[in-house]
Amino acid sequence: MKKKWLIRLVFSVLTLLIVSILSFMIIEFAPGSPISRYADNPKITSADRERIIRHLGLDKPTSVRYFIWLKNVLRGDFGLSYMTGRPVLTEILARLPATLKLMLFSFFISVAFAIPIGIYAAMRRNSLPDVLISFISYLGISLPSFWLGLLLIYIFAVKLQLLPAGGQLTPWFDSSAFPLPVRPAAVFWEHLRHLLLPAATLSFGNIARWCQYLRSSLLETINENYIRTARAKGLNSRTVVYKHALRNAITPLITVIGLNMPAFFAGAVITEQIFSWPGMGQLFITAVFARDYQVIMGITIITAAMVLLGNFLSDILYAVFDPRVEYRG
Amino acid sequence: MPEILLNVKNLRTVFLTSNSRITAVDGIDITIGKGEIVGLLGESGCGKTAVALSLMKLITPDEGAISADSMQFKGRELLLCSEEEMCRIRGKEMAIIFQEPMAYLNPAFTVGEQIAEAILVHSPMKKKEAWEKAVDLLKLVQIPGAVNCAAAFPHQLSGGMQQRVLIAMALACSPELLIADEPTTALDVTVQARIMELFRRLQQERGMSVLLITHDLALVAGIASQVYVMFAGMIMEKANTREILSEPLHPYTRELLLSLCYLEKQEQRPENLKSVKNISGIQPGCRFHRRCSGAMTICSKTVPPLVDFGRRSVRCWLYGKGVG
Repeated sequence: MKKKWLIRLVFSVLTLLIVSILSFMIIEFAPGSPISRYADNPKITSADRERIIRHLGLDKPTSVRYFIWLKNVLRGDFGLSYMTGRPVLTEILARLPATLKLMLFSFFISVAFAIPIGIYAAMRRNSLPDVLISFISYLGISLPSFWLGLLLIYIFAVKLQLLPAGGQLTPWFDSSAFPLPVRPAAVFWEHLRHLLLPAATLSFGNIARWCQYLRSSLLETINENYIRTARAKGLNSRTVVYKHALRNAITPLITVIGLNMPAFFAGAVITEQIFSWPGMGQLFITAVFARDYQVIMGITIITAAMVLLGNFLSDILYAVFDPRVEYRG
Repeated sequence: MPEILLNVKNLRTVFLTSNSRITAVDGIDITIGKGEIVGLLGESGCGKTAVALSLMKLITPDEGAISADSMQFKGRELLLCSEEEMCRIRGKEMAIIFQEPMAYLNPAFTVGEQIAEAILVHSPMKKKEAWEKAVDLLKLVQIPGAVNCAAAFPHQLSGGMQQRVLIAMALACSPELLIADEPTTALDVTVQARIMELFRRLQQERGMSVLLITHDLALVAGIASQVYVMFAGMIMEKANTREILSEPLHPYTRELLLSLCYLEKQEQRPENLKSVKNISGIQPGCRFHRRCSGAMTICSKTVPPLVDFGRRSVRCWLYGKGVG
C-alpha cells in the first residue's frame, strides 16, 4: 500500500516537471516579450532595451533559463515579478486566499446541488422535472462561463440591483457601522453576497455535469442485482436508494469530480476576471498580457500542484468508498 | 395435507423490454403447505427465477408486471398488499436466496453488515447484538472462521462462501417460507449436502417451508415432498416426489429423468435436450411439442390443459382432457 502511494508521489513530481517544461516552451513560442510594452515608447532607446533584457536574464538561451528557473524553484524561489518587482510567491500568496475562498465555496455549492438534483432526476426519470433538469444541464455544459457571468451581472447587478457586480468586498464596507449583536451576520452577508454571482457562474457547469453523471450512475446501480437483495430483505425504497444504491453510484462520481479539477481552475481564471475577483486567476490574466514570465510560471506550477492534489484526494476518497479498490493496486 | 401457507392461482409474469413483452410465467398454480419442502424443477430460461421474484413481488414496474387470480400467503392476499406491507413481509415471513451470489451482494459493505441489516430491519436491537447474530448465522451455514468472514467484503470471499452468506441472510429472521433459487449450484457436493440438511432441520424444528427452485432433479429428489416441473413458463407436471421418480407422466419429465441417468453413466446428454433460452416467440400448441419425441398433430395446435388426477396433475395430450 505505502509503495503504491509512493509511486503516485513520484509520478506527481514528474508530471509537475513536464508541466513546467511545456509551459516554459509555450510561453517562449508565444509572440511578444516582457519588453514589448516599451516598443513604442520613444523615451526608451534600444540600448535601454538591451539593458533591461540583460537585467532580466532574457539574453540567455531558453534551455539555460529554464534550468536557472528550475534550480531556483527547487530552493523555493519563484523569482521576481517583472511587473512589480516583488517576489512571485508573495504576489501569489497574497491572491491565493481569495481564489481558495471562491473555489472552495463553489465546490461546496456544486456538490451540494449536484447530488440531490442527480438523485431527484434519477428517481423521476423521464418525468417532466427530469427532462427539464436535463435541458438545463445541457445549457450548463454548453454555456461558456464568461457569457453566463455577464448575463448574471446584467440580471442581478444591473437590472435587479440585488447583488454586487464584482469585487470581494465593498471598499467602504465598515462592520463597525452595525450594532455588535448583528455584526458577525453583517460581515458574513457582505462576504456571501459578493460570492454568490461568481460562485454561481463557476458552479453551474459543474452542477450540470455532475448531476447528469450521478443520474446515469444511479440508474445503472439501481439495476444491479444487489439492489434486489436489499429489497428482498424488506428495506423500504428510501433505504434501498440512499444506502445501497447511492453508496455505489457516488464512487465513480468522485473520479469524475477529480478529473474535472483542471477545468474548474480554468473556469476560475475567467470568472475572476469578469467579477474583478482579486484572486490568482486575475493575476494570471494580467501576467499573461504583460508577458510576466515569472508570474505565469509560478501560477501554472502552483495550479498544477493543486490539481494533482485534488486528484490524489479523489483517489483516496475512492478507496474509502469502494473497498475493492485498495486490493486492485 | 398440512395447513396451506402459500396458494397461488394463475400467476402470470410479463417482462417488458425496449421493444417486446416477454411472458416468462404463463398461468402457474402453486400450493405450498406449512412445513413442506416443494421443488420447482426446470431448465434455465424456463421462468423459475421469474416465479421466485413474482412470489415476493420483487419485479419493479419498469421491469414488468405480475398478475394472478389470487396469491394467498398465510391467509393474506399478497396482490392487495401495499409496497409498505410487502416490506414487512419480505425478509421476515418470506425470504429468498438468489443464485449468482457475487452479483447479489453489495460490494460496498461487509457481509456482516449486510446480514445484520437483514436482522435489524425487522427486529430492532443494538447493532452489536445484530452483528453477533450475523456471526451465529454464518456459523449455521457452515462457514469456517465466521468472525473473520463477517468482517470481510464480498469480493474477498470465494463463490461458495458468498452463496452461504446469502443463505445466512435469508435465514436471518427465521422466515416461514424460504424461496431458494438454485441455492447450492455454486457449492461443492459436501457443502451442498450440509445446506440441504440444514434446510431439513429448519423445516422440522421451526416448521419452515421451502420452495426449492433448481434444475437439479437429484437435489429435489433428496429433499422435496412435492415437485412441480416447469417448462417455458408453464407447469407441465405436478406430483409427489416418489411418483415423479417412479412414474413420470409427462414426456419432458421423462427426459429430465433420462438425462439424469445419462449423466450418471457419464454419457452424452440426449441430443434434443438443448436449452430454450428464448421463450418470447411462443408458438401455438404445447410448449414442449418441438422437442417431444411423441408429439401428435394436436400438440402443435392447442395447448393441453393441466389435467388433474387428484394427487397429481399433468399437462399433456397423452392423458386426454380429464379423469384419465
